[in-house]
Amino acid sequence: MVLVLVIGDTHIPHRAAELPPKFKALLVPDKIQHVLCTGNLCTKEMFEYLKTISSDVHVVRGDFDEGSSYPDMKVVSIGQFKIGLIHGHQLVPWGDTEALGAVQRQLDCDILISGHTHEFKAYEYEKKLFLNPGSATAAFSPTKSDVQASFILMDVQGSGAQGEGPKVVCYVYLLINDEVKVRKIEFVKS
Amino acid sequence: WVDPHSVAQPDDDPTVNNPLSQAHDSTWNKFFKNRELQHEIQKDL
Repeated sequence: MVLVLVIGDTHIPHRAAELPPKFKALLVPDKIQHVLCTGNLCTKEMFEYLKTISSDVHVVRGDFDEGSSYPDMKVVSIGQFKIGLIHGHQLVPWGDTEALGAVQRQLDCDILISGHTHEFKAYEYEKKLFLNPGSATAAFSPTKSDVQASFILMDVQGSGAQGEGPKVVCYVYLLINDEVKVRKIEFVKS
Repeated sequence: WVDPHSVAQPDDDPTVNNPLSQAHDSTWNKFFKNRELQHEIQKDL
């Protein structure tokens, strides 16, 4: 069991003052092993905050991460999964299924994580898993008027007992009317 | 010992039972509390 936090597009302090307190209360140290961040943290303080959740933090560069040395794309292996990470402002059009599919093939990963659209998404496309954790602060997006704050927590598991492939259970945390709602999505690697 | 994967309640609501849950009857919460206690015992031995 490996817990991986997928979070990004916080845009603090430009578009949001802080992480929602109800999210902050959930993100305690000593539970999560890895953090994968889609970028647009905008400040070093937010990176330092993620470091308090887990010592292993991976960030890719968003279009507002100026002066940072984060890479454009990254591949991280966790358990038996290769996980690709990209902010997504580089793609045309933004959040497009086929454009993301091309990045997934380029990185040759099992799971591709992207952000930028500030809209939570999880779907399978050509037997690969595509995740977008949305914006953890419900930051303003030029393409979407009603942004909901969200992030994802992945529980990466090994192979099942009945010859089943390695599995990832994704818990999606959404802030709806100041209440945290959780949805669960499962993905088995084939 | 509580395995958060194998103990699935019939009315398994992810809002209550998720790895970050602080709800009292959440299997995940029990799992983390047990692990914390185990670490504490290890330190004491």
